[in-house]
Amino acid sequence: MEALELIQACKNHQSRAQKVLFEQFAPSMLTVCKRYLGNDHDAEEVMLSGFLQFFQKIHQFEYRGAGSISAYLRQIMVNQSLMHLRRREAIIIEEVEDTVVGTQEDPIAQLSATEIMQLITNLPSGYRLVFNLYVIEGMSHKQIASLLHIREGTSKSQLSKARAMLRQMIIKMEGHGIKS
Amino acid sequence: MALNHKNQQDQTIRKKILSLRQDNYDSKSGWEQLSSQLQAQQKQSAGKLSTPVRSIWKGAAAAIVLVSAGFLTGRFTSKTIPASVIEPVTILTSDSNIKTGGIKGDIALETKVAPPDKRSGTVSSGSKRKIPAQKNHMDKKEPPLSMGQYKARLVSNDITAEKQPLKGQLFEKKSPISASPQPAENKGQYALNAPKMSTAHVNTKQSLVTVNPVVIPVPDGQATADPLPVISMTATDMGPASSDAQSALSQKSRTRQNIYRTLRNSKGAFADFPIKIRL
Repeated sequence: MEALELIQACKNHQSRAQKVLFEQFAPSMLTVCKRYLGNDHDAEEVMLSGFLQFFQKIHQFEYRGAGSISAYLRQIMVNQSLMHLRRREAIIIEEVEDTVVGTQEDPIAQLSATEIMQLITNLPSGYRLVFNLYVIEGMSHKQIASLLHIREGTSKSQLSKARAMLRQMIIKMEGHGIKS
Repeated sequence: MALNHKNQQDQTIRKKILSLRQDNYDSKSGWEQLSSQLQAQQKQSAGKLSTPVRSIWKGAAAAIVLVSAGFLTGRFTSKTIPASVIEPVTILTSDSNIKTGGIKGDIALETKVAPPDKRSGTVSSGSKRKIPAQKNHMDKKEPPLSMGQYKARLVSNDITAEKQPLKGQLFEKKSPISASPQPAENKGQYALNAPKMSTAHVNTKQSLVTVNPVVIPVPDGQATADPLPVISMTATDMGPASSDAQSALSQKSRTRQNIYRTLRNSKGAFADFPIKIRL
């Protein structure tokens, strides 16, 4: 079944099409939620609520190509994750001690996807949020500031500190021989 | 330069992260949870949809019941309002010291019952001859009377009224227009009893005319042959007659015409009387 037919069937509330769509996109959406929430349990809960919202409001979705479903679903998952964080715990923008990293070369890009994912989930929630929103979602600091109700400078400083912390973590991993 | 390099590094990280999938995820169990939630949501939405429809039906049924109840109530409680009854006006009938001329209508009524030999004056007999003629020629106007003729007619009426004294009841309860027991030739004379016209029909909005004759005490020494008694008629409810009354009157249009004509012809004489008549 093609993606367009799948969407049309989902709009007609066909359970089989909904199942196919879920099985197709659930694994990737689970990683999105896990990136923001940091644990599998909350990530699955938020992912299911995201899919539920998607199927409820699928009549608002317009199919614009193969990647449109994934992008739309990812946006829903991000919003659901942020809402979950707001409900469970206030989004705390922590101030972590500055770590001096002399080199301009970012070792993060040298890591595999799984390693990057592991490092991101180990970041503090504030750093993790800003890093995900800026680096992965491609949002600007202004957008992040309005979304998280923080100042734009705070978003920049959080991103810079998140990068520094990731480098530090990579150095520690290298020191412990964890790096693959 | 450094910014571009950082952007390239971010693009690399993004591609790696977005391509990441958690393939070991048990989608079946996830789907079971999701499908149960979806079914619950669909039931809720169906219940929300049915509630307004049900309330609309309830409202429509209630409106129908109320309207039918109101209709039945109005149907069974409406009653025909009885004909308006003019209560007889009792006057003092002391012939010794009170002289009442009555109103012209009464005079005409009494003229009807008066014996023909007691009628005096050519004008009076002439007027009696004219009334049936008016029935046949409704549009024919009577020529205006001169002052002498008016006086002569009034004197004759007055005399007739003296010959037939009032018996304490000026008006009958039954209107001669709506159901007159009198023969047709006397209708015109009855029609001279102008105040009865307004009570010709039964209606909720009927105009009730009350005639209050003013009884003027006359000293004993005065002769009963005083030419003109003073009569005051007060008409109440000056509103227009209802359509039902109009229709009833139209059925007896000839009588009405007679009334109008007679009054119009007697305009000069009525000018001397403070009479206000509203039909």
